Amino acid sequence: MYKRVLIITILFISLLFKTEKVHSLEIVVITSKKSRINTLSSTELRKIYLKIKIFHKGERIIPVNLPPNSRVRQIFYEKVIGLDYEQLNMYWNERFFHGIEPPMVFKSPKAVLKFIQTVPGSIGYVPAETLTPQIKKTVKIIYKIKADEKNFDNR
Amino acid sequence: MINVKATELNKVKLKQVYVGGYSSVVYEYVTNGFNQIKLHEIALFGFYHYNRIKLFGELEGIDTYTYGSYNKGSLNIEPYIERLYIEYLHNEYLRIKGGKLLTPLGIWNQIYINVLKWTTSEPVTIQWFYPRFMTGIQTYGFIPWFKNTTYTFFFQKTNNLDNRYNNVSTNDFIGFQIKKIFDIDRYIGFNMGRFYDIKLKETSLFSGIFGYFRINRLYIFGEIYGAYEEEEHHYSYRSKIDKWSFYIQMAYKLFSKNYLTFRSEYFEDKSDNAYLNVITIGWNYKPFSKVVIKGEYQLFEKRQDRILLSFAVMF
Repeated sequence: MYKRVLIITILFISLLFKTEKVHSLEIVVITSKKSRINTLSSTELRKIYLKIKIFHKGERIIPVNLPPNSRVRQIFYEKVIGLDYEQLNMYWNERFFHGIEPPMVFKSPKAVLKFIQTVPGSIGYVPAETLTPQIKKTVKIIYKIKADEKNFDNR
Repeated sequence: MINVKATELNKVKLKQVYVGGYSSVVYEYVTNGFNQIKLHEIALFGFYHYNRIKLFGELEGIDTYTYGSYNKGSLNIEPYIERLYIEYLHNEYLRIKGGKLLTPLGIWNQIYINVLKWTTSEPVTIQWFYPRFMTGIQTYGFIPWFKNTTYTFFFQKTNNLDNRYNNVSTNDFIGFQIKKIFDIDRYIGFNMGRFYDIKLKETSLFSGIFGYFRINRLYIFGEIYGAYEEEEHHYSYRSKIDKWSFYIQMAYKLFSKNYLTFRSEYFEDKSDNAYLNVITIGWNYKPFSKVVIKGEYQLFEKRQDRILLSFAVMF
């Protein structure tokens, strides 16, 4: 009887102190090994993703996005771009009116990686864990973002 | 979205043609009883990228349908060429546009369509100081020696391509602008220009300063212009005339998608000894990313007040 009470008490206390599993997520901004870009500051990255800066050392830069519902994109925008959904909409409506379209969107980190490997001057962000040794031979990391995420969905 | 599997990505070609448009319906009521509703603008534009070259074209119908106290329904379906240009992107410091363009000055003239601007009405400041469209050459880009500073230089030496809805008819227009960008929602600028008005036969030399700031939920921007004019047709009064104007526009985000707007504007023409003083208070509601519904009340000093309601979309 005492044993049962002890087990229930321990279970109850453990429920009280239940902690959520926190993953440390690293997002990397990458470009092709052939690109002239070596590193970028967050300000430069922001300008590139808002298409204020479209050249770097004479090379045309093509930023690419993950879908809006991707958590990786949401973290990237929160940490680097710093504009909320409404502000971004207003910004891109205005830019589109002037003939500047928002960055292309790719379905998955895999597609982003493939595009970056194929198109010179393109840059994109993916979870660091998607960079296999094989991929690392063809791309270079130009910026890193660290975030603590609960129940992270790697999309 | 590039909607393909990663393994099929090599089949994807970069999208190079973009098509869009915008439209708005405006209702106006003046306190003397005048009222009208109109399909104010309906436009279609498209652009095409090929490496560093971009082609841009826009056709627009203005006041396509109007119905009101003085007009029991009129239709105007003739479109006009609002913009048509070719652009070459050489590098960060040099981009060149040639053709019919939006005059690249100030803040408001760059966002003059209903769906982009905060209010349905426009401040007089941006209507009476320079031609809103030009047909000529524009060069622009960042200034290499100054961090985050852009320049624009433009000139026109011909009649405008399709000048029907331009505020000024000119065949001689030159100007420049310097803009210091602190952030995308914090910048200040200075501009200057000169043009010849064919109809009024006068040369105007104008100059302006402008600034845009966002502080959390508050958007605040304004422009101030002054002009120095020489009128040819006033033979008995061949003199210099000065006019000046300013507006300050504020928008405060009360809650998601809803903004309270306020504008104060003033215009003074010393030659006519006339002035205009207007306060505008309104509401801006953005239910979707490309849809805006606006309402405003304009208080005119010594004139009839006005109510404006509008619905605008972009696609």
